[in-house]
Amino acid sequence: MRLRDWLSLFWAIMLNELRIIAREPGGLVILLLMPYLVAGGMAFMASFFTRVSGIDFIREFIGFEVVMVSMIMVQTGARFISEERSGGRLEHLIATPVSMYIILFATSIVMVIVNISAYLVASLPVIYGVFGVIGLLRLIPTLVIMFIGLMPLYGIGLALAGVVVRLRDVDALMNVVTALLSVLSGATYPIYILPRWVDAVVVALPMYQMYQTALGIVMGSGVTGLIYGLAASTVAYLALGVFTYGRVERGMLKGGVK
Amino acid sequence: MNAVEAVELRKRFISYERIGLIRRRKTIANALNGVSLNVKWGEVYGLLGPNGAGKTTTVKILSTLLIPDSGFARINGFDVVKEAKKVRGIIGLVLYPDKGFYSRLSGFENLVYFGRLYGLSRGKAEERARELLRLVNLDWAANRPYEEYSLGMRARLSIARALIHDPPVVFLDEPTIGLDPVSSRSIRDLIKGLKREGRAVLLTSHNLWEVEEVCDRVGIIGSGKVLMEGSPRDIKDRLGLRYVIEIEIEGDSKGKVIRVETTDPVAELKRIMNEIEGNGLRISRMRVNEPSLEEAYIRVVSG
Repeated sequence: MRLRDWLSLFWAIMLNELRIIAREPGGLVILLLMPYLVAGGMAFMASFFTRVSGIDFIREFIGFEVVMVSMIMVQTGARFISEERSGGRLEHLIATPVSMYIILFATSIVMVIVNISAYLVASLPVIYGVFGVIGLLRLIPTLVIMFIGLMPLYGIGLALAGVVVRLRDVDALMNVVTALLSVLSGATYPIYILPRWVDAVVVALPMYQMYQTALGIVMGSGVTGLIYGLAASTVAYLALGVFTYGRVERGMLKGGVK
Repeated sequence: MNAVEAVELRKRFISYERIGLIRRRKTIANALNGVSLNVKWGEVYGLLGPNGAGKTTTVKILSTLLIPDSGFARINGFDVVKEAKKVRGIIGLVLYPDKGFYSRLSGFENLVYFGRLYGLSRGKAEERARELLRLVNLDWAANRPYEEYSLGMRARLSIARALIHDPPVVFLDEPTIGLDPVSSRSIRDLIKGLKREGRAVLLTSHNLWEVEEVCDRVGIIGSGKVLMEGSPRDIKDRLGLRYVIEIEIEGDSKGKVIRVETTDPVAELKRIMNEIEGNGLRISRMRVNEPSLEEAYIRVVSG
């Protein structure tokens, strides 16, 4: 297959996923409004005890943005497998000559783009309000950080897909994972309050690396060494996801898609 | 070379049975115990058998969705395990006629998407989707979301998907299940059309009348094995099933009906005709009831 054919196929899968998302616009609206509701609510409550500055609001806002898009990305792989299976499409997808890795990767890229777009649209007014035009310019590199940061989360999601295939109860599992990861994100509270070992776990997770790097850029304090950690996480978690999914697919071909 | 060739396929599944709130018991089900079959080009082969006999497992192995424990299968000479990607490119598959599409997308969009996955260019996929929607008589509903399709429409769309990349080999797993007579008939016409085009078709169904109508050969599967194979007529002959000849005589014996059961209807008819003519009688009505495939099937399956 030539590169042009690959790209054409990749685009076809992305377009299909975009079409499906576009026909359920309610989710997109929530994606845009939720960070305001949560960060606004927290700022409102905090205002009873202390003065809440624009910087504090942005810190919470970006933190919640990171947590929210991270949750979506972690769930993407597992939910995709689960929904395709229950909809009777999984076997038909496997039965095509296209590798499931290509299908999974293309759909994950769509989710990354949708999440980054939602982050951009939701952040624009608040960043402009606090930092002006310079804030908007700083927002651009954070999009790249988000793009890199969401890929390892997708890798974690793919690894979870294996558990989903065995347990068959995607919602229960995802609720547990979501709760766990939101606590371990370190994006909505200062992590120095945590025990030292939990602190180490948080720093090793891509959410914290993504949050701190993006926040540093928006605040104008530059990029920290966490960006290297983020790059390493991308490679490590994606490799874990690819390896785990390979085993899952092999298992499905041996035991059947149930 | 046969279009489809399966030799001694064996497959067993391990499952866990609940025997209490938490405890589970491991059970092993032998789904296939050495299934061998072949399908020739331009032939419709029907795979019959009771629920759990191994029909769907066979179809899934042949369509690369399951790896057999032992034995091998080839589609157009390609091994279903070692050359799965090549096999996937030349087979069309109907697995669950009532689902398997994106509910928010239209029938046309679904077909184009699967066409793209089978390597068609966008233009070619769209052209082929329009052509197939016409063929399965769904062109009027091409732009309606799949979730609004009736069961019959969904089944026809499944067949259209199986043909989107113009595959020479088609596997149809119970394509008419739950369909009304009109929809079933249109699916049968489609299958006959596939045969005329020289494709090899493997069909599983519980509708024996339908199988008898469209299949050139059938394999009756039970306990994971092909118990009997041949053309529907061949199977009936081998089982010694009886034809029923009913003849109504005109004249003196008006209203009298002669009823004869035989395994050789041609010879028996000649004998009766000679006898009637010899006695100077005339026939007012005659009927020959052929034994059905259903009788053969029940005989084979119940041992």
